[in-house]
Amino acid sequence: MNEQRRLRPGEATFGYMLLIFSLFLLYNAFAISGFSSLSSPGVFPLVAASAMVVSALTIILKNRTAPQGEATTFSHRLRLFHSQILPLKPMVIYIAMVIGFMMVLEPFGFIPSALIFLFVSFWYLYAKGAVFALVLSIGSVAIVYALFRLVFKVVLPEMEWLDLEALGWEG
Amino acid sequence: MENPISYFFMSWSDPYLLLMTAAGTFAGVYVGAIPGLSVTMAVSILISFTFSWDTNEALALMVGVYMGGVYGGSRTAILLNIPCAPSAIATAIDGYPLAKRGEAGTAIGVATVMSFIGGLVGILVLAVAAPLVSEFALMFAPRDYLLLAVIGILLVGSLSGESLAKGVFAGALGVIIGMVGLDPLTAEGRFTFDSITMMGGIHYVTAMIGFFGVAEALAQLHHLETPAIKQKLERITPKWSVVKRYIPLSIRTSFIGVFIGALPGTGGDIAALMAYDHAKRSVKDPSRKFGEGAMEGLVAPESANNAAVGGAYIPMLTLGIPGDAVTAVFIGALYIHGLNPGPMLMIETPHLFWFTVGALMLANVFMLIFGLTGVRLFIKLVECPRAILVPLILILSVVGTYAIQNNVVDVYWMLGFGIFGYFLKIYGYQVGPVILGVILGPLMDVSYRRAIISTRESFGDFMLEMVTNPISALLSAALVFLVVSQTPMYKRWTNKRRSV
Repeated sequence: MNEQRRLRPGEATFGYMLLIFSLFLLYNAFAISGFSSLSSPGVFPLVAASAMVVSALTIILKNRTAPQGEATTFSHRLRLFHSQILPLKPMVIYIAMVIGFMMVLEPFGFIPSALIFLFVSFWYLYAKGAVFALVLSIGSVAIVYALFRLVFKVVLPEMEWLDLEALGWEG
Repeated sequence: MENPISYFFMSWSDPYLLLMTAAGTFAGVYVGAIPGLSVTMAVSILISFTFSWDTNEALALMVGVYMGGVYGGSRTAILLNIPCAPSAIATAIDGYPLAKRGEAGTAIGVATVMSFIGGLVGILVLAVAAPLVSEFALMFAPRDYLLLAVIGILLVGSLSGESLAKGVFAGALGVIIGMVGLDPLTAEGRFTFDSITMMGGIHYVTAMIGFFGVAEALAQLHHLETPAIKQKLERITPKWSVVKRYIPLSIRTSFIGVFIGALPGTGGDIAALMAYDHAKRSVKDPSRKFGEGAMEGLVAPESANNAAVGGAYIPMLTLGIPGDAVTAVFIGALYIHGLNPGPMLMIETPHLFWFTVGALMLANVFMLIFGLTGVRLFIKLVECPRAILVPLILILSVVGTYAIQNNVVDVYWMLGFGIFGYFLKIYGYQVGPVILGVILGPLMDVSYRRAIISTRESFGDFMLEMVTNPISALLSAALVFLVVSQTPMYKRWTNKRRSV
């Protein structure tokens, strides 16, 4: 266990965010049934949320005494956070791509959305050219579809806007 | 009950189950060996695909993945100094120096055989001890389950993370996630925010895939530029004379592994480190200095971490308390298939227990076979760039999460947990206790309420029973010691004693 590790950029702020989140949960745990009885449904959530608040406070106190990071100004800390913890490239852009993929998953269906997502991912992350990315993404989707849909019988999102039965197609 | 032997050999005699166990073990060995993938991640994603399967088929596959995965981590620990599984951390200490000396083949071969021996000892102890523990567990009261669950979460949090506070935070967060939805006893909403979607709760597999699959995939984005390391490997089957020399140490450390693995909250990682420490203290004349490529430093952790697999099944099957994150995921799988891990599982469905023991034994044999073969394929897979792995993990995570309830909302939850899990990981919080909390939260809640109702809601009597009942008193003492041992005062005192 290494308690004396130097704080990472944003770690102290993350501790405060966890405390706020814990307090929010504590408030909601209290709202379940208050202190009505010792066996009410809200008691255990209250205990768990209180444990979160206490541990978040302990973490904040420990962070204050731990060796601080190299940054001294707010802008420097922000720069370090963006370079070490949440870099725009590839982290933020890639998370945005994943969110985009999830949003089109139901309307477009699994095959087209996964194909586009994988193609863009391989192209962006691996940088070996569009043709390589295309071949790899087609191959990957084919294997995933064959294995999970055809062999394991897993239900995958179908293309909503091409739902022929919903459009009255009976053939 | 029918003959346990027939259930034991079910996975050996049914070609389909045999194939499932083999496929699982094969996948486990390679998943465990690929940097960026973990056995917990693999089992989490896999569970969602086995919803509609027959229980035996699903168990056979997952048993194989677990057994193979624990072993697979040793390969990258030896070759690349990257312990892909926490249980392989101790393996890297002497395994990597061996590889640097050009003895990677021998090291992998010895690690494979010792893992097999460890696995064998663990399974034998499981077969003998589990029925006895199960009978003993019938004496457990609800408060004892509450204490065991709290000890389990705290142990995982304190032993594997940076601090107890972070472990407690992660465990409590998991408990809250596990309690979202309608209360099972009164049907009152908890953390539902009046949303109908939230009333059904958050499926624990969603949390597992998010915290283990997506969070790990995002963390791997930091290592895209890490070049694939080329390795040369030829013969890995070790000579009998080499194996024979280390068998006594292997058996000794296997027993350490199975004992540590059987304690709630401790898994293969702690078992391997304890075994390594034992080898360091007990071996008077090692092949080389420990830390510089001593074969004993490889034999001890590899025997212990695979023995811990059998050990971890003991509390899981007899008490319903997971030993570590992987067994927590396994308990989730048993629930999905309509089974209730705990003392009654052994009484109501003993055939399932003997089937699991048989499948573990078979997976152990397959681990030996796959561990000593397929070197070329292994090297190719290990060299797979992370830029290809990360999108594939995400696709599998999405497919797996969607398969739970065919609902895209689960996929959004998974991504949310994944992003949150990424920050937790990067700031030194372990996600293992979160999953333990998700699985154990409802059990703890119900156990606490049953215990307090049994004392007519008298908190004084509840606390009194905690210290007057022999089992509860023992567990309470263990819990108090666990908390006290993490305080700065206790640490200062032990350091002072050591220096004296």
